[in-house]
Amino acid sequence: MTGKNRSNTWDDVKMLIVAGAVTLTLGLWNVFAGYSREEIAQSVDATPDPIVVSDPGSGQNNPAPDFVGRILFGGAAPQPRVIVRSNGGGGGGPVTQTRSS
Amino acid sequence: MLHKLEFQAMGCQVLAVVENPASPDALQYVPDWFEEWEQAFSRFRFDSELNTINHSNGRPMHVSSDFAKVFETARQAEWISAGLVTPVLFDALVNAGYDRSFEMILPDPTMPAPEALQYIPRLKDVHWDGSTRMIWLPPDLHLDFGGVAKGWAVEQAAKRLAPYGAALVDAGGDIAITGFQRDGGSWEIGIANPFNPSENLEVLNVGGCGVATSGRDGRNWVRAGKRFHHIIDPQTGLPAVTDVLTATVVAPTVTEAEAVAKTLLIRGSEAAMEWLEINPQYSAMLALEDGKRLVNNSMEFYLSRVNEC
Repeated sequence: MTGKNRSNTWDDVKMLIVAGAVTLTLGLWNVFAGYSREEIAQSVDATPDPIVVSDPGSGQNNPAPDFVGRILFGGAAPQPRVIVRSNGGGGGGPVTQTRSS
Repeated sequence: MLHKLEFQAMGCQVLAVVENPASPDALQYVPDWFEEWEQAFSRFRFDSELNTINHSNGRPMHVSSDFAKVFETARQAEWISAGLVTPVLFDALVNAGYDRSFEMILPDPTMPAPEALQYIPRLKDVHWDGSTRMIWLPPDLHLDFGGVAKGWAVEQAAKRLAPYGAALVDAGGDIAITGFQRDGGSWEIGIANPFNPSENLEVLNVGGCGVATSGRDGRNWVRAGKRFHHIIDPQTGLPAVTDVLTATVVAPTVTEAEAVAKTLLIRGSEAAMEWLEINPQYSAMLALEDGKRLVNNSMEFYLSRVNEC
């Protein structure tokens, strides 16, 4: 009975050492390798709105805007939103199509 | 001047159009609206509100205002369809093989064909108090709003765009239109040919109304050598056995059009045309698997001339 208790105590000590090592590693990693939240927030705020209005009739604007934002890993990727302008729908064929979805 | 914005949401291509001389500010926010609604109603996002409710393990839950509205819309769809379109078929869909986002379903010949469920839940098993927005699901009942949520989202987006001018919002073929164009012109909408979706069977000329198509030509998959689709018949709990390939409906609202299109598909062509006889407020065209097309009288109106719903 006493031997089993001693074995359990040694297991606890080993577990403590491992837990301490993992905590220390993650802590140091966070301190030296991670970006600060302020830096990330500033870079996101500074990113210009990627909305572009183009007129396909004029043929002067490129409908695919140059992406000028910073790529951040994690979360949803920023999607450029291209609003296309055209002259009316009359006579130009169907605006859209209904189909099974 | 038409302003158009296209993007992906709710597992399909979304198109938002507004007729306005200036670029309407609201158009750029449409993707954010859809993202918010998808987060609430998707069964494929583990942290959606729908999944939170579905994992309530028999506890009463308080739901958001949007969730309450979609649930009420689903109840209305069940009433219109006499029980054929119901939001309680989550487990039947999973049993049929639609257990992940559609583009992730791969052909797997080793998977057995779905078998009939022992228990098919009913919407009356759900306790709902609209005044307090409290819902209680039995532990073995799970909700899936499916096309109802998409139709509702399309309708909300169109309503929000309406102050800027005549608007059209289309999510994967579920279309809401707020009214005629400024010059009184109608909106032309093609009805896809299920045998060749790049071409149109017909072109509708419509004003303010909802248009939807339900079909088994798009979302289908193979199990044990047989093809299955996502339109579940609540009478069997299995994909509907029907001679209708696609059903296209014009109705006052897109949520009604969606519910009616599904109803017609599940009923099959003969019973569908009988149903339309006693519900002439809905206009429909059925494309059958043998290549035939059936159109009710009121649908011919939209195929030949401009009309407000």
